[in-house]
Amino acid sequence: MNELLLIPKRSLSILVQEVDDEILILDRKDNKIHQLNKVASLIWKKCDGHNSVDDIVELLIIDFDISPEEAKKDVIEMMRVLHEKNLLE
Amino acid sequence: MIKSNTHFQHHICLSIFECLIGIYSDSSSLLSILEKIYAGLQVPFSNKKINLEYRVQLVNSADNQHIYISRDGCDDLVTNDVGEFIFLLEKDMTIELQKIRSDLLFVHSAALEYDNKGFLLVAPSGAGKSTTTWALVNLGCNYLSDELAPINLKSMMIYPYPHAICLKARPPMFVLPETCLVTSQTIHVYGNMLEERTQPETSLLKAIIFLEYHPELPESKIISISRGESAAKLYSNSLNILAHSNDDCGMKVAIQAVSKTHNYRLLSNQLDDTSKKIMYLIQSLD
Repeated sequence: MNELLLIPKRSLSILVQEVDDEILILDRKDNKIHQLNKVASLIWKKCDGHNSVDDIVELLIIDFDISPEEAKKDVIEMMRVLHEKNLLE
Repeated sequence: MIKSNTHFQHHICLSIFECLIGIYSDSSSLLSILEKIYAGLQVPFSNKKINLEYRVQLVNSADNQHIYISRDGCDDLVTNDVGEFIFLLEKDMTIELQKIRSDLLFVHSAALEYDNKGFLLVAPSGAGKSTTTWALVNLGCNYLSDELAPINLKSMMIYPYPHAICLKARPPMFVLPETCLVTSQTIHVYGNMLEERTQPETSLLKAIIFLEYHPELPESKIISISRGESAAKLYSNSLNILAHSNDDCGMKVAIQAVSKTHNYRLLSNQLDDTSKKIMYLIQSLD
């Protein structure tokens, strides 16, 4: 499967707060809290059930002025972490 | 076990977070231990309402002695180990106090004060809170707690909980006084030096330091952290954050608290270096 075509969507069991440019995510299933840095927060915001992973890579290239390779690596790694922590559907 | 306090000859009254706790016992030796552990929290009995009452009994059997801790409305706690007795009583008291003072945010943290600046050392058990606390007291800080820091979120005042400092091992420096209670698992440090350094009043919270033990590092390091990181860490180390929840499970409260403080991660290594760096940091704060 081409992971760039996947459309990530945030879990329904979470609560989110934004502090400065960082996102805090509370998973209500286990009451664990996760803090995302600025880049991770931007990626997270784009996981809206509409954008594909490829779309998010494109947005990251524009917002952070980074190379397509770097953006792809960051987004795919972030997707892996979010899945691992059960923060995506 | 006996359910009436009047059967017991020995008793002490503690004032903790403006709540009164009466402890009654048939054993002068057990009460004597509690008098030492809670020297900084004892008050005379008065006409004021007692919020929590415990009965402590020493029961001899053929081959052993058992200590019973009783509180109305719950099962007795039983142990034959003095260290565990202190642990069980304290655990029950602090849980009950969280219910009574649900207006305060209870943080699993050491709390100290220097030059009217209160600060927390937040860490999970075993990360070095108590040992670092002992070092900082020796370096001139005033002692509020090595374990539990309730915070009034409106005033940002830390309430003192100056029980005897509870160490799991002897520290590599800052020799302990002879007046220590050594149990099977813990060393409880009390005595004149600690009493002189005890901060009896609330103290304004100026800084939160999240302590992490890193033996692999060549030296200790203090890093300023974002409000987001601090709020996440504070949330994880709060004992009753859900009591402060609206529809956000208490997240806003954690953010609100760290927005009024300086926030740091401390990667600690050698006790000497760690404690001196904390002192330097606190002295340099506004």
